[in-house]
Amino acid sequence: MKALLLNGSLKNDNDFNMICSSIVELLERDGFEVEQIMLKDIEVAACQGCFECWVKTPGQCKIDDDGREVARKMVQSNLIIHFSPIIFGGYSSELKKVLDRFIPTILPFFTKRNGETHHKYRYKSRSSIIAIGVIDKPDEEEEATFKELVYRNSLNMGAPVHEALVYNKTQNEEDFISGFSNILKRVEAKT
Amino acid sequence: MSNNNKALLLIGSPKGENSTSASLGNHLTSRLEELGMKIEKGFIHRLVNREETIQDLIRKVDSADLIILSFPLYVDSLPAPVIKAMELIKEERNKFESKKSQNFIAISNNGFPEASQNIIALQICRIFSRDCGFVWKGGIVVGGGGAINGIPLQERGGMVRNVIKGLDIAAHALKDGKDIPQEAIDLISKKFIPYTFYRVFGNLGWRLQARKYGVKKKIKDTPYSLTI
Ligand SMILES: Cc1cc2nc3c(=O)[nH]c(=O)nc-3n(C[C@H](O)[C@H](O)[C@H](O)COP(=O)(O)O)c2cc1C
Repeated sequence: MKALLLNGSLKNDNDFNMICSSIVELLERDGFEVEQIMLKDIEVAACQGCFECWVKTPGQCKIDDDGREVARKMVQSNLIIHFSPIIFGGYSSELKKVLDRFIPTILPFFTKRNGETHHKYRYKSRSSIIAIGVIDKPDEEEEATFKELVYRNSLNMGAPVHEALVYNKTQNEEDFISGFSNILKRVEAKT
Repeated sequence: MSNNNKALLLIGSPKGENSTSASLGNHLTSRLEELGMKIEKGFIHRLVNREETIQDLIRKVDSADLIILSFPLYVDSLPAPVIKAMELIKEERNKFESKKSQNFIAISNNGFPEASQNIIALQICRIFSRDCGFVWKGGIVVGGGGAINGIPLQERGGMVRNVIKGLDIAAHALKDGKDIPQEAIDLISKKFIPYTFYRVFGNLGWRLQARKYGVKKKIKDTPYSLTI
């Protein structure tokens, strides 16, 4: 089983790094082959919104940079971890730059799911998503927004298992890790 | 009247002036201009990558009485460069206590026909506004952005009459420093194309474009499949 950890850190932050290492350790202990990408260290241009990845070079972005490789790895993983500081209730710009470049991996065609319009999937097998948002102190509004965002992403990306977890820096790390471990069991059962 | 003279339109689409974000934002600012406001404009994608342009963005934001952020919905949220701009603006505003009251609104348009899919993006904008000490004056959502496709609203005609009407009402309120009235928000987000029609014609449109590029048969290709 492959897990891809997309690290959307904006700066060096000890708490953030510590929780990240614990997660990687746990994934490896459970038998995942883990790859972590520090997104601020790679070249990923912004999506140009041209939709050529749907109608001219189907399935691939025309920008030849690291964004293509990350999209490929996302498709080929069983589990993707969106790991990011919570920024105004959403993801950091570093994590978002690769999520925007993920759209070549779905189809342009519209379909109706859950009573709403969404796109059809390009690939039969799709990755589960666990999103981990790190926040300095509890903030109800930001946490609720983050969870809702992850839910909506999972609808669009068709994740078999999806979960949003918030780690606030005032909380006990062990409690958080045991919560993460329980979710992992669900991913393993569905993979 | 309080100081509400200068509006800044920030466009958060990579398509710049040819975007639906610009069609919507430009319509609103042209009304505000008629009502006597001075308008400045900035294209976020060109502003966030270099130190000089970042300073220009910060300066534009600092000098505005009303900030209008108009962007497309990308993966249920805002495009990455727009989030980057928000991070930079917030960082700058942490450095000092702002002296003046500044109003903030957001306009989110999306590709799916349901305008309601923009709600999370607006929530993000509202939290940004709160954290920067701006006064949140409301958010506008527009579904089916592909049907506007970057064309000026006046040229789009009858189909978008409610959007036009709503933006006109919003302009009057904003000029007076008031919140965008619910009536305007409801008019603008009203369905202007039947959903089934949008889906059917949308799908046809993708096929026609693929044919133009000679890849009609390849449109469902899976280049990242492990089994090729
Ligand atoms: C990378 C990317 C992600 C998108 N994600 C969504 C989405 O999650 N939901 C949606 O309704 N439309 C989505 N769209 C469609 C755009 O929101 C839509 O095309 C919009 O009208 C573009 O506006 P603009 O002309 O202002 O750029 C996405 C488009 C792109 C390029």
